[in-house]
Amino acid sequence: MKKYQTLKQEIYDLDALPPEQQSVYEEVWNFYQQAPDWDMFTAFWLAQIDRLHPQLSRKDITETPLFKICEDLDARLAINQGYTRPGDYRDELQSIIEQKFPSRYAFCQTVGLDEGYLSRVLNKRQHISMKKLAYILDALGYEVTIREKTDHPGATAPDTKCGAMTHVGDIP
Amino acid sequence: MEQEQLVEAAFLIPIREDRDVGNGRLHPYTRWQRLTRDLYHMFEGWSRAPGLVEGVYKDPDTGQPVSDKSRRYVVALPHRELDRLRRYLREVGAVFKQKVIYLAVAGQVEFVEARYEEISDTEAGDL
Repeated sequence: MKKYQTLKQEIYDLDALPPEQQSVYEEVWNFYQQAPDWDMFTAFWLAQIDRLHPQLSRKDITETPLFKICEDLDARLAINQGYTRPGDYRDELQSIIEQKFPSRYAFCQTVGLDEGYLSRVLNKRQHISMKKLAYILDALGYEVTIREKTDHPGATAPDTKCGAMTHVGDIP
Repeated sequence: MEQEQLVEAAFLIPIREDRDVGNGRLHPYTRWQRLTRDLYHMFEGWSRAPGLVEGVYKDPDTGQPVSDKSRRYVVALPHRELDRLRRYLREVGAVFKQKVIYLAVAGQVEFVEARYEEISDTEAGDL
């Protein structure tokens, strides 16, 4: 089975896409391999996807695997061209707090954490111990895990082997 | 059928966080993904100008000149939707860790203050 793994570690089965979506994926992928400017690429894939799903609302379209794959390619291109960066644990932690609490203040009140300390950690101005990180994550219903390192998104240079980057291939 | 008149609104998103409210780093890609999704939901048509817009402005808090590089977005929308765009940009300012967002509506410039308490996971379409 051909698969696509995103920077967020989501895996999509390319063989499961309907034929017309596979065809769009191929077109977008081929364009991506030409390393176009980020702006041009975004406009290209959004137009392709719009044509494909005239019956769906735009909100529904953004939930399709094809949209998520295209926006992942978009992110890789932007990282490679120096417009953005891969996320780190601080970004993930902030995102979880924002999803689960109305404000950072509310979160800090709930878990008994100093708001200034959290702000310094999230802004990369202060390190956080593993013990404290585990404590915060536990309050959010998460835990620290160790996973095998996959490709680095910085390795998306146009002259590198792009096939390795998107993990298109057979699942063992 | 007569087409509703649209106005052009352009706004700038600096590619780095503000050094006071953030730490001056490039944004993680997830913030740009969220912006793209929101614009895709909110507007039939929008565009992002190629390349970067370089600018210098006076920091409202420190009074010091600050230079930055931004992406420029252009949307066409009915006049009645402008307040909705401003509300959205207040949230965007916080997501991208800025103090203000530069907005030009039909040539008139305004600075939309970021509202940090408004950061939410709400999709723009629900605003």
